[in-house]
Amino acid sequence: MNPVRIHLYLASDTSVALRVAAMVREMVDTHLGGRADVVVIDVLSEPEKAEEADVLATPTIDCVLPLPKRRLVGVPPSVQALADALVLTNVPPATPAAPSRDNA
Amino acid sequence: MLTKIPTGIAGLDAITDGGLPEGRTTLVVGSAGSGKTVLAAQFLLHGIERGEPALFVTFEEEPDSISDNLSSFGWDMAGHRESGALSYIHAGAQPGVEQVVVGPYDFSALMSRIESAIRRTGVKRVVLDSIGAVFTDYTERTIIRRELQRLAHAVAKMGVTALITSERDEEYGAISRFGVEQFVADDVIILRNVLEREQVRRTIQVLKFRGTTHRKGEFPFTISPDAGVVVLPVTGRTRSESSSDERTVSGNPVLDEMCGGGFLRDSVILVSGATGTGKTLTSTAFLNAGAAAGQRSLLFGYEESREQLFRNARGWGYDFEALEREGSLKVICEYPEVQSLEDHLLVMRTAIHEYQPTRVAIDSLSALENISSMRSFRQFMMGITAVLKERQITGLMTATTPSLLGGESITVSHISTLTDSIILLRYVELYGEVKRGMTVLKMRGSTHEKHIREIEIDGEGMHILEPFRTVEGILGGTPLRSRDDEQRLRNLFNEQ
Repeated sequence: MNPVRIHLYLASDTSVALRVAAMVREMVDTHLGGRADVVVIDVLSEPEKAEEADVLATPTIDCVLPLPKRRLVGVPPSVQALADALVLTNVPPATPAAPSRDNA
Repeated sequence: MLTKIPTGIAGLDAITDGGLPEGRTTLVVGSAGSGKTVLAAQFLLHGIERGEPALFVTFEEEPDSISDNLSSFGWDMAGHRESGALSYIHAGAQPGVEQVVVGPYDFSALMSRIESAIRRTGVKRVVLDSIGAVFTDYTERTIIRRELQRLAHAVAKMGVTALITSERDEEYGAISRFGVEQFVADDVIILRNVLEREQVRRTIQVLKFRGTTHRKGEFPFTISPDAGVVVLPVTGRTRSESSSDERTVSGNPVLDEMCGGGFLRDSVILVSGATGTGKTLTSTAFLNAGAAAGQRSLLFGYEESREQLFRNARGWGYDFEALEREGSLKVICEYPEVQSLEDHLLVMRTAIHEYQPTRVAIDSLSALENISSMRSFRQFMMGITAVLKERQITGLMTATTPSLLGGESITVSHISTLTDSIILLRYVELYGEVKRGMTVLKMRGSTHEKHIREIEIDGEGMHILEPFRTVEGILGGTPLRSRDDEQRLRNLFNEQ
């Protein structure tokens, strides 16, 4: 199981939604070495999932793991800005620590 | 023609001419504690009673805490939620989660949640309470305005009637915080909560209803522990409708004569006089006459205790205990200071609805006037007069004049236009003696005697004697003996 889990709440396949989804995937590749699960939720077809998570706005980017949970709202200006805002830059690239993290 | 749907709130449907415009969004604004949530919940509950499913979107409080708070009114929000008649959406931020806005966004998720809830149960009434809270979690005003507008529009398109609440900072300033009214609603209602003479005074005003009618101005309301918001409408209409020629006894045959054959049945009579001139006696006799004839009579006493009032009555030969036992009399005594004038009015209204009296006496208005501002006193008077007129009740109210000899009380000058008849009681100083006098000053819809008569009070009540013939200036408080030859002339004619 990957150490990072991201829930991405989007409004169907609008251009904004597609762009944000692409940015998140790029960030996972460039900053997390691909070690993150990304779940995309379409709030229009699954409003109950937005309900469960108290989501009002789209896009909402929830970093569910590692704890504590953080929530970003809006289209980030860049992939770097997205990574910075999630404060994930230091987590997975610290490769020596990664195995022990996995074992734990 | 635009249809309206009733809110079920007593009085509000009257001042809105039928309720909230159907299929539109009405904004209810008010400062903290002004009763927005209570009013909103009543709107939903009334819908549920009529079989219309409801949706409560809360931006601040958790649904459970709203249910708890409202259960103190005896409203079973939790039960309605279980039965599916009421759905909740909690539109607040997720507790304990740090949220950062990193760029532009919209409220598609919230909109989708609301739309899905509306479709799921066939919701007809929606409340969004209170929308200003969105501005604390989301600070981009232009985005929020656009999104709330889109939301209001989407809700309207689904044929749902929405009520949105929003905060305001000052009672007489900007309509709402963040200028919400400019983009979400065609219809605006303002709730106010003003401290006046150390009493909280609540008013409600329909500020605008686009393209449809409503009553203008501020109307007092209270939040009653078992009914929630109760608006006390000032009905200006009943006045013209009620003009019965039927007479009813005043409790004193001579007074009946002075009034041209008794009081008019659906009239409001003001009895004004200094302390000790016989006001309470007049109201006691009035109630006794009604109760003795089997008409239900109701007394609201604000100056004396029940015991004192009953003792007074006994002293004049009236047995109030027996009448109350028989059920033809009801006496309600309260300290004026225990509650605001609006609450007093509510108590009176409820008592009148329950007891269904034919006559009502209030002793005295002055005691009530002392606890309120002029404006709320006038509104109270209009409210109680309307209640009496609606039910064609004969009403007798007393007012105390501050000076012993003549002079007009503040009460009288403010409400004389609201009462149909005015009876003045006065002290008259004559030949070194203090006497009492009575006159019928005004009687709408009837002729009446113009004389000032002497009265005497003893163990058998009030005796109305002959008119004073040799004095003038009694009403002004400075009686003067008429000049001798004039007096002789008058006597010649009067004593024929």
